Amino acid sequence: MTNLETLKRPDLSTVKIEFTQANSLKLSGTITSKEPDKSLGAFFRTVHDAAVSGRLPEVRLDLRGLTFVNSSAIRMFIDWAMWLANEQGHRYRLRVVTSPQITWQRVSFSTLAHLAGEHLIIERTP
Amino acid sequence: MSKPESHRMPKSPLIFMRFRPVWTYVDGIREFCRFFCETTFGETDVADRASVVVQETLENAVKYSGAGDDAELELTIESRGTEIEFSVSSLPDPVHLGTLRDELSSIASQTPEEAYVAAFLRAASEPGAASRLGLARIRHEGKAELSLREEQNGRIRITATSTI
Amino acid sequence: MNRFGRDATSPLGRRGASLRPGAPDQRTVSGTAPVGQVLVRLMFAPGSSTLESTHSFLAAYTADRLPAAVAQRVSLAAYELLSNAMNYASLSSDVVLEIVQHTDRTIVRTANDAIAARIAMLREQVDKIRSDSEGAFVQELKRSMKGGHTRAMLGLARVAFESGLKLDLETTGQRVRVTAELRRDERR
Repeated sequence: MTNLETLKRPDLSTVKIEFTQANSLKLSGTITSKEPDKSLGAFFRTVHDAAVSGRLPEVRLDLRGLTFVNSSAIRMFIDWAMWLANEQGHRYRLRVVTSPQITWQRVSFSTLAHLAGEHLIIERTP
Repeated sequence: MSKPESHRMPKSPLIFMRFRPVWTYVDGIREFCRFFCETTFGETDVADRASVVVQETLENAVKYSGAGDDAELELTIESRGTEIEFSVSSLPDPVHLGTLRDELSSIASQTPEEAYVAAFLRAASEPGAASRLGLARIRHEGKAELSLREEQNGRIRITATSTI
Repeated sequence: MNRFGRDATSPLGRRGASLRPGAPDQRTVSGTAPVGQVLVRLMFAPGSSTLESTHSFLAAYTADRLPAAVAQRVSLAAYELLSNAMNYASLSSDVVLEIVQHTDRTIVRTANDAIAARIAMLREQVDKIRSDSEGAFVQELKRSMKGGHTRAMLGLARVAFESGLKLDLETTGQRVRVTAELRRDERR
């Protein structure tokens, strides 16, 4: 079975990326770089590709520690939702754990939830 | 095209600062403004909205700035009774000014949420294209209304006004 | 017109002054003294605890903005003047801090309201520092070691003696403005 923990994580100064459990990714810190898609976005793509090729049932993305992001970072989550929605191969569930106390998460993911398919699950957990 | 009037500088802004349009400055300025607003207004919500507005207006200004000594940015935050006003003055590359005007007109024609959803849809349908979410985010998440004023010597001022 | 009236209150409308070292002074149309350029202006609410965070920000800002020989001294002056103002400003008074760049000098200044007794104490201290900055510094250092005297007075003495900025004080009724000025020819 595919182990996402073997994937190479980008080394970023403001955001920490951890694998907390099998197929469970946690991000903490802030994302405000000019082109986060080039590093972190590329990493998200490798996670997506690995989940598809490994036929994982679910990938869990815990964002409760991600206190602030710029709009370019929000774009990366839109991209990920669209990869999943448009995936012709195996479609896994992407469970995004968000904090109701963090405004950008509350606002952005409630918007994204309406646009993405049923494979995107938004969890609001303090 | 005649030049519009100079912007009336507030006599007593809460914050005024002048700096070069460098991306790496934005983080520090955002965090300081966030802290300052939280301390001044005693409200986390105001501080959170200030973070979003400052981040996105400064990123927009830095991205579209021209080069040269005159291309400095000026950030002002002012309290006007029940409103807080953020404004960023910049000297944009003329090539980008038309795009900026068009974007502001487009999002102004919709409610903040509609404009934000539209920006999401655009991002979803144009993978690899520029985000263009920032200004819509200022309106929806920052709960601020935007305006653009042209000033002397090719400078512009983008103002975001929000209720405290 | 007090000296603040000459400085830029509307930076966008007065871009005549240049920040570039060595650039010639550009006088106003009427031939009066050149206008400065406000780099930073901050207005603090009464009683707010903002000193340390503000200092961190201004230290970074000045380090990037000003020549190294100037930045640290200006940053220290901003800290001490702000500390002083926060300590003795009336509880209902806002405190304004500015850093202003002229072609030939950099100015840090604070403005706030204060009661007459405090203004008198401050004026006496500034006069002492202006007449003998080293003597005032030593005296304040001894006092602070004994305890009981406000640290703020040692801070002002530091600005003058340690950093070599010229202190000045102006009052208009209850409004007091303290200025620390570093002239270009005095930069070390």
